Amino acid sequence: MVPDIEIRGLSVWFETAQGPVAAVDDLSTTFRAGRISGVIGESGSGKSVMGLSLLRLLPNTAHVTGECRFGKADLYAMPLRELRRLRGASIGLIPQNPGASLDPVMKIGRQIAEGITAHGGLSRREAAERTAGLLRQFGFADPEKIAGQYAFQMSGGMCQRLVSALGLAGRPGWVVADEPTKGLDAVLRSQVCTVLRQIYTEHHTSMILVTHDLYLARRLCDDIRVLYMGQIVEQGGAVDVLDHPRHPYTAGLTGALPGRGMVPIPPPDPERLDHRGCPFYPRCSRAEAHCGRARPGDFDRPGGGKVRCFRYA
Amino acid sequence: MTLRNRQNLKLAAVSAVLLALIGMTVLAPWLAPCDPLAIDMSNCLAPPGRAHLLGTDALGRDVLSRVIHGGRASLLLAAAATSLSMCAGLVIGIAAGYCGGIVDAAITGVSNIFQGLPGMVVMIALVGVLGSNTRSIILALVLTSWVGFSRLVRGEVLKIKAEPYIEGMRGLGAGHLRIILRHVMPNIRTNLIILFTTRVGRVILSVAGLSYLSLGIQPPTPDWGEMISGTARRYFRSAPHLLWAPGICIILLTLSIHVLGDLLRDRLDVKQDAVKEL
Repeated sequence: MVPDIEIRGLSVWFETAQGPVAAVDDLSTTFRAGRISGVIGESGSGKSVMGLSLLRLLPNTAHVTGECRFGKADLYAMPLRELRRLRGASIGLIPQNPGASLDPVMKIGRQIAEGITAHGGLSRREAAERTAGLLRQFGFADPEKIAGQYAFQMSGGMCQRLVSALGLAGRPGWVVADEPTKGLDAVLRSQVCTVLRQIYTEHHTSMILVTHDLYLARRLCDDIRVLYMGQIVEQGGAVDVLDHPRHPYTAGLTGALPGRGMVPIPPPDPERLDHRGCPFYPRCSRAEAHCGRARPGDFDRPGGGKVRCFRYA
Repeated sequence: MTLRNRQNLKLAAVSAVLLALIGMTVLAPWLAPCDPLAIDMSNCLAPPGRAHLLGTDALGRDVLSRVIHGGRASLLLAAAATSLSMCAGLVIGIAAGYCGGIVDAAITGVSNIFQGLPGMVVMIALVGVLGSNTRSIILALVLTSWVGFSRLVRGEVLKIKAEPYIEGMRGLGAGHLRIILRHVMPNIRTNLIILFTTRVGRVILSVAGLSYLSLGIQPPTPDWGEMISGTARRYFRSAPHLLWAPGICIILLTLSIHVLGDLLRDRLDVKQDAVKEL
């Protein structure tokens, strides 16, 4: 039985030359097993930081507080040696930038076998057989040939399929897919979507999909969380949140899509920068005076889920 | 002729020269026509001839026999000192680059001190204090050349550590040792090989330099550096044949090692190799 991932009070800040910079601010949510959970937001909203924090893969300059329950274990508090046993085997990672996520001087077959044997227990021959099987599952008709090649000989779509295969090499119950369509063209985005759907249906892997690609999120995700400045401002069913956004920020994100008018979210109002209220207050077109004085809580969202906006108090 | 064939030809030629020089020094006792230490005062500074193909030196010793024996000490010192320097630099550089933080700051501080010291002066001082023997020469050479390796390795490790594939491997549950051995080291090997070959050449010249200052391999042990400095220095106008053979050997050895390093770098470049297969 694959456990849920429960995050409670997660805050992440980075030490920089200009002082501490908060990336995630007191975030609490539960990712249910057996579903594809989307995390969307603009660049810099803290979604990748949140995703990587689950596996404690953040740089040394990051400071993490909070709790992340995975079954009985707290992922943020457990010794690194124990966490290493969970990485790849219980929670896999499909990193962003597939081309750069493969070792340039190691043959593809050996890299996939590395993922398979990272936790031991398999002979080289068994690992090679499983590598060939995994490559075949991800659409490589001639796995022996691919196994003998290098990452730079692969196209963008092939690299994406390979990093997906690598993420699943340890047969994890959960996988964190970090921006899988970042920088890809429309054809490749469609291929990636197919691969991720395949992972979910064929491997029965629960997934956290971190993306700013709203089309991908709508096509794949069961539920969705919208992040703004490290806080979840809206969460609910993927289709409902994206088709009927309640929070002004979500409405701004969907309104900026080419099919919905391409209206950008306005930049922060300089007169509203000094405030103690909702983090979206300086950019919100529907803000009222009290929005700048107090932080909204999580209110019930019409249609299900939660929304962090006083309009639904 | 294709690029690959040209490279193969170059590699074969360079390997042949290097193997010939190494083979000559290894098989010296059987190849040398005379005893390299045998003095014949009645036959001093004899020009090249039938009896002595490369002539004799100021003490009447056969130059050819001394040239054949002379590479032994230089090659042994160069191989040992450069290998030890590389091993030390590799471990220290990986520790600094991979661990970061205080470890990196401490190692970088020590490296800066070593980098600031003039190499030849340190070598002269060390060999002068510890005595002119193989062990102290190797120690002096290692102490003055590990920094180059460690700096290169540290820089490369810092770059590689930030690569997404390292994060991906950590995400798969790979431990630090596994990452270092299977992903970091293979990615720095080409640069390391180039530096190794450059350093071997430089160490051979340093040994020759020490011999020139009478601090290297001590007479009467035959050594190419010593042969140039000892008698040739005094007699190079009247007996230039004393200089040619050991000089040519030093040039051939350092040049072939440099070219070999360059060719090996090309050979180990997976991109170049794979492109040629297409």
